[in-house]
Amino acid sequence: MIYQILVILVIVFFIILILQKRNSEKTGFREFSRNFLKEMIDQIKSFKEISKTNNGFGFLKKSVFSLAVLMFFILVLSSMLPVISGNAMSGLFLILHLLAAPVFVICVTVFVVLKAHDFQFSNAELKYLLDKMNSNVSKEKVKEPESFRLKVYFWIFVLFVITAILSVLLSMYPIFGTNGQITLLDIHRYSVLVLLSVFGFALVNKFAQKN
Amino acid sequence: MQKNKDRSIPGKISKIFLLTFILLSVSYAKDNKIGDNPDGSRAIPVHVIKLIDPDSSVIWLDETPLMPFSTEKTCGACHSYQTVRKGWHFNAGDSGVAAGRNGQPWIYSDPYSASQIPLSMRDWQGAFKPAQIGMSNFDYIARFGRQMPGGSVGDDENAQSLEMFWRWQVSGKQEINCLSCHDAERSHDQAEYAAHIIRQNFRWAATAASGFASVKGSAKDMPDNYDIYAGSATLPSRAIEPAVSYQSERFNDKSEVFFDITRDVPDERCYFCHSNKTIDSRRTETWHFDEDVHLKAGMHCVDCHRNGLDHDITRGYADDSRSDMMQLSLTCKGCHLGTDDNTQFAGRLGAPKPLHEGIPAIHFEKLSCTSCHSGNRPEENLLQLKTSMAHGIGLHKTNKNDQVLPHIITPVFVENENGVIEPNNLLWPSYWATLDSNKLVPLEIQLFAEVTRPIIAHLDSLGTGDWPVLADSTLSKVLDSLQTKISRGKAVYVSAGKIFYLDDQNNLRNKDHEQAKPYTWPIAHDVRPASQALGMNGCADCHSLSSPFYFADIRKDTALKQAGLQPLSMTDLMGQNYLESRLFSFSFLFRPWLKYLMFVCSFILIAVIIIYGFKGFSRILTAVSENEKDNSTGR
Repeated sequence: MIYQILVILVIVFFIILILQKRNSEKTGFREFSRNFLKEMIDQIKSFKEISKTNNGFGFLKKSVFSLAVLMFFILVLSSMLPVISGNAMSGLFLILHLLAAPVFVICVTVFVVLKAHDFQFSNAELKYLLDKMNSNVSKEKVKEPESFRLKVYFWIFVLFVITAILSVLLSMYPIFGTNGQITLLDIHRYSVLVLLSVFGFALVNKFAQKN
Repeated sequence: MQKNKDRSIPGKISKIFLLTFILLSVSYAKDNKIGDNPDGSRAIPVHVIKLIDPDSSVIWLDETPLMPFSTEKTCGACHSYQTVRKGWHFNAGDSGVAAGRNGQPWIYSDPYSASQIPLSMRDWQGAFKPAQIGMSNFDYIARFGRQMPGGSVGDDENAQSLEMFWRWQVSGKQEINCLSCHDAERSHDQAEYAAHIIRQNFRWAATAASGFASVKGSAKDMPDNYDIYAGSATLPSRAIEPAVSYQSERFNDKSEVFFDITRDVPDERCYFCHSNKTIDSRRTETWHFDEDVHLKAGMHCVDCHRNGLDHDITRGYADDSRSDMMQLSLTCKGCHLGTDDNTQFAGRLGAPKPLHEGIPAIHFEKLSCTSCHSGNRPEENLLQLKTSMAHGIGLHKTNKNDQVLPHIITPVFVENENGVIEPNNLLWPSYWATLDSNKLVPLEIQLFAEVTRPIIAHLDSLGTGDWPVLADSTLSKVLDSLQTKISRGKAVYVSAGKIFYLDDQNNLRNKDHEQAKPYTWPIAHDVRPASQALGMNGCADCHSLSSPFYFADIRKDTALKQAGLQPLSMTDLMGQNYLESRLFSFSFLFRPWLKYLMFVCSFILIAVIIIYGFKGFSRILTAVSENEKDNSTGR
C-alpha cells in the first residue's frame, strides 16, 4: 500500500512538472504532447553526448543506451501498471518484465563499463563539491559545473541498478525465507522507484539546463 | 371439612420463593444442562446412564417390545440436544446457515441412467438440492444417511413431506447419533449403523451400532400402517419387523449402561465418513499410501477441527465467515505462522514455522498452503478418487470396483473467489434435463430412470458399476423417448461440460453450457510433509512445460462414446491464460542462464563502482591536500 502510494506520488510529481511546462509554453495539448515527446527523446539522446572523448565504441554505446532506455520503460510500465491497479504483477506483465530484465541488465552493464570513464568527476567538479562542503567558502561564489548533477545521477543510478539486480538474484536462491523474500522484494521495488525518480530528475535537470 | 390453608405472610413469602425457585430451575435447566458447561476437568466423566426410548420412557430389559434408545432423550438428558443440532454436521437442512465454501457433495449416481449428480442441502455452487431431482427428504436420508451422523432433515419434523408422513412414522427420525463420534467402544459398528439406515431403520440405527445391542428386521419392508408397538396385521411374507435385543450383562440393577464416551473423537470415527481411496495403478495396496503428516506426528483430526457445545466444528479454512480469532488460529497459516493481526497462537501444538526458502512471496498471495502440501501430487494423468461419502466405502456391502460411479478426479487446481488457487476434487455432472430458454432444469430421477433403464440396462459394462458406454444411437434413442415425457423445453443430456440434444432434424448435437460446468470442492488432506511439497525440487515442479500443475489435461469423464471431447486445461480452472502460462513456464528454461547473467553483470557493476570509487576518493584526497596547500601558502 505504501509502495503503491509512493509510485502514484512519483508519477503525480512528474505529471505536475510536465503540466507546469505546458502552462509555461501555452500551447495546445496535441502540439505540447508532440513537442514534449520529441524533447524527451532529444534529452535522452543528449545523455550520450556528455562524453568528450571518443573511445571508438560510438555505435555500440548508442545502441546499448537506446535499448537500455527502452527496456527500462518496459520494466517500469510492466511493474508499475499492476501496482497502480492494486494487483500483483502476473500474466503478460510478468512475462514482459522477465523478457526485458536480462536485456536491460546486459545493456546497462555494457553502457556503464563504456561510459563510466566519461562520468568521472573532473577536478573542477570535485573542487565544486569540496567548496560546497566547505563552510568557509561563500555559496554564492560557487558555481555548479554544467554536467555535475548528471554525473551524480549516473552514479546513483548505477548503485541502485546493482541493488535491484542483487535483490532479485538473491531471491532466486534458497537462502532467504518468507520474510527475507518479502524484504528482498521490497528492496527491489524501492530501488526501482529510486531509479525511476533519478531518471526523471535527470530529465528535469536537462530541461532546466536547456531552458 | 374446610382445609387449613396457610394464610400467614411468612407462608405466602415462602410460597413465592418456592415458585420463583422452581421457575428459575426449570428455565435454567432448559438452557443449561449438567453436561453443557464443563467445569474445567480434563478427565472424562464416566457415563453410566439409563437408556431412554423415543417416548421418554426408561428402557427396562423385561419390557415388550424392547425399544431402541433415543440419543435425543438419553444423551439429551444432560446435554442440550437443540444446541448440538445447530452444529455444522447437523445443520445442512437449515437454510439460515451460511453455506461457506463448496464441500464434498452427496452424489446421486446410477449407471443405469448414466448419471452422477452432485447434491447438497447447502447452497453450494454447482450442487443441486435433492428436491430439484425429485428426491424427497426421506429418500435422501435413506440413500445418504448411511454416512451422516444424523440431525439435519432426518431429524426435523418440519422437513417431512405429507406424502412421506407414514414412512417417517414407520422409520422414525434419524436423530443425531452422538455415538457416531463420541463412542470409544471398539465394538461400536458404524457400518451396522449405515446398514440400518439403508434398511430405513432410522429409529434403530444408533442402537444397532452400539456395542451392546443388536437389531434385526427392516422398516423398509413394513407397510405404511405398521406400528412399532402393535405391529401390522398385513406384514408382507418374509418381511421381518425391526426389533432390538440388548446384551443383558451390560445392564446394572438400576438398568444403567456404561457408555465409553470420549470427548476427543478418535480419528477412526471421522474416517468412517471422511476416508479417501486414491485409484492409482502403481499404488494398489493400503500400505502404499501415507496418512496425513499431522496424524503421523501424533495429532488427531479434532486437534484442528474443534468445537464447543454448539458442535459448530471449524472447517479449517481462513475465509470461513464463521471464523473468529481462535478458529483462525486453527487454519494452516494461523497455526504455523499466525494470522496477520495475531501471532500469539502461532506454533500451537508445536507447529513448526515454515522457512519457505527461495520461494517468492507472490506464491503466498496466489496459492493456498494446500496447493503445495495437500492431496495427491498432480500428475500428467490425473488420478481418480473414491470417498466414503460418494462410494460408501467402509460399508458392509460396498462395490469395491475401482471404476464404480461416481468418478471423482483429483487433484485439479482452481482459483477461488478470492483469487487464490487451491487444490480441488472435480466431478463432471451427468444428468438428464430440459433446456428451456437456455436454462437447464434437471429431470426427476424417477422420470429419466423409467426411460433410460430399459435402453441402457442391457449394456455389458454395468456389472462393474462403471459408466455404460453410450453410443450416439443409444443417446439419441433416450433423448427421443424423454422428449415424449416432458411438456416443456427440449430433452438434453448433460455430460462432460456440454449438453447433448437432438436438433429439428433429429441429429445429435452438442454445445457448451454454463450449467454443465464441473463441480469442484477444495481439499486439504492428506497433508504431505514439507519434503514432499510442490516446489521442493525447485521451480520446475510447477514452472515447466511438462508440469502437470499447470498443464495436466482434465479428462472429460463421461459415458459417451463420442470422440472429439477436448480435455479441459488446468489453466482454465485457474483463471489463467494458457499461452501466457506456457510462455512463463518456457522462460524457466533460461532461468539458470539468467542467474549467471545477473551474477556476472552485478559483479562487473560492483567492480566499476569500486574502481571508480577508489579513483574518485584518491582524487578527492589530492584535491583536499591541494586546497590545504593553497590555504597554507595564502594563495
